[in-house]
Amino acid sequence: MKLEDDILIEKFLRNELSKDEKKAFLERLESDADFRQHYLLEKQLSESLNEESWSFADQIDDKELNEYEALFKSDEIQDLKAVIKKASQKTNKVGRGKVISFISGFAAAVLIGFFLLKPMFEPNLLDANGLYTEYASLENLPSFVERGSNDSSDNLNEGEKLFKEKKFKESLVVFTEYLKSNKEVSGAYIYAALAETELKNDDNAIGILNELESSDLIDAEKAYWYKALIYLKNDKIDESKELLEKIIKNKFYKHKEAKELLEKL
Amino acid sequence: MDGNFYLDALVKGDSRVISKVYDTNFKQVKRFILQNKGNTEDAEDIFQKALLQIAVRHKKEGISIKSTFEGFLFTVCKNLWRRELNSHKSRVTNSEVVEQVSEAYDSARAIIEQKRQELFVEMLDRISENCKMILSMFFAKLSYAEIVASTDYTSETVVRQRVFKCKKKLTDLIKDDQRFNSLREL
Repeated sequence: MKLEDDILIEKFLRNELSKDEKKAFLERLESDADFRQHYLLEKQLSESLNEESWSFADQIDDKELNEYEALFKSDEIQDLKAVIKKASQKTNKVGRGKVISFISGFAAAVLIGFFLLKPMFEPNLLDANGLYTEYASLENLPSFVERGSNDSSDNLNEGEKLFKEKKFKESLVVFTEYLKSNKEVSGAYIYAALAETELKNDDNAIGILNELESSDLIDAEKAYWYKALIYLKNDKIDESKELLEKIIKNKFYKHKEAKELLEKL
Repeated sequence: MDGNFYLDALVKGDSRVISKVYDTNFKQVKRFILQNKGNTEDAEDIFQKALLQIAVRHKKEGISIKSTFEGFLFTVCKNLWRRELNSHKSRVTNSEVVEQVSEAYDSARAIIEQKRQELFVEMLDRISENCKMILSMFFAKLSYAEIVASTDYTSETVVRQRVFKCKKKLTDLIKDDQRFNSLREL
């Protein structure tokens, strides 16, 4: 499969093709078996791995399907169904809960990078600490792995690895050492600050982020986002809100998430 | 008690264990469904369907649970609810599927879909963390510009190539897995 074809399929699935392009696309699906296979798998993947959709089995080999269908119709499973229903009625004598409305769009934002690790639709009753965990998304911080290999990037990789293994103390040592002689990588500041936070040294974390904020780095603005989260974690809601507003106003890093988070506070 | 104890008891129709499963798990599922556009009746329906689905699969394939029964049951409930929320769209898209399909057929179809979902998630877990992260963003329909903004990648072109390579790794793994033969669309 060529990159161009891949892009074409992606545009079709995202509904970004013009009328004529769409027509040509559909014709090709009919005439090019390889292309069709590739498209079908891509479609299944994009529906399965996006928690807002679902991949339906529309046209599959029906052998297994028929076997399951027969099983569902069998007396044994019909009896089991009745037993399950009875257990349900017994349990539901307890009062019925009230409906809590769904925050639309929330799932989409939560999806960034970690929807497979966490439940898709999050409850809207989170505490400040929960919000910190959710938005800081520690499992999915930017990775240094792609930076090629030399001594200094090896250190970053090592620090990241330790962080992901939750060895925050060790990770902090690596990043602190790195930052003594290198001031060009915003990610190193962020990891160091978050490691401090995990070790409950929030003042140190804010100090590191202040350093990033006042640096000349192109990513210096990321400091605002992480500072807002750390304040939030410490229940300093006003300070957090102030930073979130600044992020939104200036369209800084994570301004969309900031807007959404602000609405929850 | 391990997950397989519950699987066996479920298939046997052990009402005492099934009641216990309700007591322990239903509240969480109900809370989830209420918070996501559903009501108590929906929650009951999904919970029953999930238990039946698990029982049927265990009876036919003898599944074993890697994590906990609670976790597995919750995932099945969540996916059945995802399916339900999207079912209207599916019916509209596939205009040829006009006739009302039988409940047994629809439940069978849901099993195939659940198995496919599990296969994809399992394979996604096998590729590198970096690929997993970037594909998760990609499949969440984030634009390339948004991916650049949330990662260390410097340009959309680099991200695009990365997505392409990661997808290739993922699809190769899926295609190489025997299970995919009976789950794929034709």
